[in-house]
Amino acid sequence: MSVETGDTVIEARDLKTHFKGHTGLISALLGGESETVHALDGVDLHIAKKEIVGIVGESGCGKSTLGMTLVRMHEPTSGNILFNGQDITHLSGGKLKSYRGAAQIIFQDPYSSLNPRLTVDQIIREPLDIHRIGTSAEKTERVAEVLSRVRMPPETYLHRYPSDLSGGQRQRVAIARALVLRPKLIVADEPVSMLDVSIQAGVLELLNVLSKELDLAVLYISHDIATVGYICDRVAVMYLGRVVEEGGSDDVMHTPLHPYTERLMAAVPSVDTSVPRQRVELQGEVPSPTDIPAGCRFAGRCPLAAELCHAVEPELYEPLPNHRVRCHLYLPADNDIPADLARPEFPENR
Amino acid sequence: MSMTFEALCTSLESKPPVRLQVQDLSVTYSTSKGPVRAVSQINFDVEPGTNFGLVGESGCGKSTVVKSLMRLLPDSAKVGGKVLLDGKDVLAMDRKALAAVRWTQIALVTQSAMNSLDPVFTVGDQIVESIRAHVDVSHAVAWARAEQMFAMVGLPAERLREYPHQFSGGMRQRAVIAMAFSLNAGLLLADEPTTALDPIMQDQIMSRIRDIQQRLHRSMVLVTHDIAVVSETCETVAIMYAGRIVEMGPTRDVLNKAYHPYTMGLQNAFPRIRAKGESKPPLISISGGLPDLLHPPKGCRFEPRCPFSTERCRAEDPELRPVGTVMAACHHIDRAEEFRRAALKAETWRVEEDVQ
Repeated sequence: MSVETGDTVIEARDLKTHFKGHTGLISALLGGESETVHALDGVDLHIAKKEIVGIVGESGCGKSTLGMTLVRMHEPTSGNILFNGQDITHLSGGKLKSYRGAAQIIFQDPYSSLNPRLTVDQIIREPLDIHRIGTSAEKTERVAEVLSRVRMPPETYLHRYPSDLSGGQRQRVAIARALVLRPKLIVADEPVSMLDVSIQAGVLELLNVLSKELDLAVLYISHDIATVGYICDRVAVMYLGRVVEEGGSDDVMHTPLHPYTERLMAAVPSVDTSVPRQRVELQGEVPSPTDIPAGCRFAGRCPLAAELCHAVEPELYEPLPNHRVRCHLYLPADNDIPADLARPEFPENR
Repeated sequence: MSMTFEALCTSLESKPPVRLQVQDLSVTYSTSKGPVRAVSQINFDVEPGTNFGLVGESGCGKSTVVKSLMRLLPDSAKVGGKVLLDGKDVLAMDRKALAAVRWTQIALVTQSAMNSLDPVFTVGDQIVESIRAHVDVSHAVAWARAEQMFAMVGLPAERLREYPHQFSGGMRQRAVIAMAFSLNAGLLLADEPTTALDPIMQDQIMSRIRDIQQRLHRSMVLVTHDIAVVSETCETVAIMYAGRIVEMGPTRDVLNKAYHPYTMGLQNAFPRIRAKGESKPPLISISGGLPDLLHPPKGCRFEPRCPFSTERCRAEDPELRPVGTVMAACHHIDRAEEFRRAALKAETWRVEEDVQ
């Protein structure tokens, strides 16, 4: 499934986005420190041309923050974002504006992301106005072009309002609006989770085709692991602000390495009940991102956790080619971790 | 003299499961543009101690059905037909009889149930209140029951003393499920009970619900759009489309050998995890959208989206009729074998280049 790499469009290096949490008024007056939410806490990721990378994880794992940070809707706290090899982490003013033209985002809810008082034509034209691109005739041409790209005949839809459109059609308009500035990167944040099952497929297929036709790098954010397998070349699994496993989507879905990914995959119900599912209960809750535990972030819930896991956070190891995992089970033999810390071991049945 | 804890548990556990019979249920909403028939003459039975799945997309009327079973629809909705709980018609009950049935006989968990907890009372007090509203027990006995229910959904008993805002979404949903189980109602109505939750939490809650239903031999109506969850949970399934049941029967049979083209399309569109090495099957969507229920089509309601439609489908509305072990509302059930093969191909569903 690997796509020609080397054409990296976007790259995140040790990217962190922290937010200041709320403090009560009294505590603020008394000079109390506000809590810091470590929403995104050291993520490395790259996406090439024509490549779709999926981000999966539970809510609160930081997947949306990652998407919004990459398009610079959130300020990164530290780390770097490279776009076509150039550092855009701290762009501002006009340069930031032109970056935003090249890096677009599609949101989850097509019912609230489109202005109900504008026609489809006006909605898609607006980014061209804001970025002062083209004459009026050129704009009209571009609007019609992107509408055709999302397979909505312009003559039928140009003058309709969002209220005349179904959910799937609205999401197509949102995609057309994102495409009109001819971006290189699209962040699609749960683009089909609000749509009915019978029409999800069309929108996913469209994203897939567009990425290949227009050389787009796509970050597909979703909690629905089953959809990821259909369109993504690679998948990254996030847990509490960090990527815990990353690799080709078939590899991650069929041979998950991280105990967390294993449980995530086992939790997906299956239509075919002839093969019983290996279900594993996961104890406890995701720790609070204001109070990150030492060691592996998953250790508190991991049935295999050993002393080492609670003490030292694992690196991203690469036990299989192009398949990385942040878990001490895969600690390479040549490591400089003190030998007296007990290592985790694979359970006997695998 | 109120009951002891042991007496309460014994009396609750000896409750029989409920038989639900829905007969010719119709619901019409009156709107400014005219009457909208959200549910048209549907019939189904839930045998005592079994799980019944109601599957469909948004707008198909599945939540309206659930609300009408609990009599929770607004007064502007006209409800016709019968909803028999062990033979007694819920739709004909007076307020008092209805209050006696709700929560003791039928309990409801909805998708947004986690937001139904009152923020100013502890979760424990709310469960205790709901128990004491229906059975004559002391606060201490009801509290003990609440602790028992919390253990069942996997929440620590000490958290009963906390307020809803101290719970995560998944914990609140579990608390509401604990509340719904607290009187061991014979019938649980679960309307997308886990849709708002993460996959791991979703799976854990569904497996708990399944366990409890099975262990206590309860009946359940599970409303969902997720055919995988139904496949794992329900003995019987009904597929709804535009206010009608279009196919119904044993879950295994309906999903393995569908007779209605909509059921076939729904299965194609449903993303699933492929087996290792299996090639990427195309996800196929069904083009078009739900018909306008203000002006429903004269013939089959799925006809405008159906790749196999004929003149007869446009002219005549098909009845739900038995075929093999299932029932299907399609004029061409005799051609189902041929349809099933064609339905697997993406080009079959490209009715035209109009998109949804």
